[in-house]
Amino acid sequence: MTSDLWIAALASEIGSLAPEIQHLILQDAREAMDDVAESDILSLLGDPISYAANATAAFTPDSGTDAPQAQIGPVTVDFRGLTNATVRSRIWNPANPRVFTNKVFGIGWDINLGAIAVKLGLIRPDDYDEETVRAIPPAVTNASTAYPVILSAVVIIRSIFGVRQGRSKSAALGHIMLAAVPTVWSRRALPQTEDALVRNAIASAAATLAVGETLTRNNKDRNNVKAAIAGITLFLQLLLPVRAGRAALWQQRGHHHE
Amino acid sequence: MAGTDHITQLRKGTIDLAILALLQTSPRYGGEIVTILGGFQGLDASGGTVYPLLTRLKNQHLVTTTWEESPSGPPRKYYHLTATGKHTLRDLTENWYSLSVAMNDILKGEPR
Repeated sequence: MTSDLWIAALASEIGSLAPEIQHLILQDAREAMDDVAESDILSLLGDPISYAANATAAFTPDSGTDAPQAQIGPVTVDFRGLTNATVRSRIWNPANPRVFTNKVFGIGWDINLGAIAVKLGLIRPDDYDEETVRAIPPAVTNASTAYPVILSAVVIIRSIFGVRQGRSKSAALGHIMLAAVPTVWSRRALPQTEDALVRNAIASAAATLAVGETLTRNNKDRNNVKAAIAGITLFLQLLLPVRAGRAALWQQRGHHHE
Repeated sequence: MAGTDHITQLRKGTIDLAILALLQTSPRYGGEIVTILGGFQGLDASGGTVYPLLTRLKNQHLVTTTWEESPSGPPRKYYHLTATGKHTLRDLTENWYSLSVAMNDILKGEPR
């Protein structure tokens, strides 16, 4: 194999990595080749596919997607939460005992509700995985996903009546967007996945907040109460389905043994 | 910082092997594995390290889980080695011994 072919094969293998990392890997490989006769490339550097796998492992940090996008001192910055399921999962990661976690969207820190549920003894760190999520009974999933839809409908109806009674149109539109956009977005996850659970919980919290906004005349009224209720909704929409999934798995096991 | 990174890298594969080895004698639950590994200071294995690894080992079909009654609280998930897991454990153990001999020689500055 000629060095050009070898490099071309390596380049195509690492095509999905960040451009700067691709550049570093290719540069390293070219430097290594300078010391090697063309006939010895395969025996000394191995085949490009294994080389690519090793290089990828070496250049990808262990923490992977848990690393924040950027950091200002101890403050984390991340704007991938809307598009990246792994980044979103920081708000519910029972396996990680850290309560304060890297920001999901914005600047600062977020709270890992999964760690709180574990500390409160409500679940165990390894209760939550794909298997548990798939075991959530359909009735629980239906109720849980109906929640943001019903609340969005309430927000839309209340907002329309509000405008008829002379309240601001832009505020009404804002409330509708706050409830409906996350609700639609939550339906874009594959059903029965961890991400579907997280998205639905976020949509439920947003819809709860929006209902709160339509219920208070002045938007600054009882902001803390509204935020607390939205936070509790977020927590329960994550915790209750997981506990239901765990209970279902336990029952299935009982049937197997009897 | 770079030092910490290197140590993390060094421990990474080791904890996988340690978990598989612990399951060799009997199935264990997550908390038990964390407690046992936590007793080995050099490993520096906390729950935050062990639980994600358990999930990974399960996804790789090296371990499987069953739910068992717990004397305290809700049922617990017990981890068992699968046939593939046993095989991998044997391979890794052999590799570990030859690796540690090689590394000891290198670190003592003994060329072959």
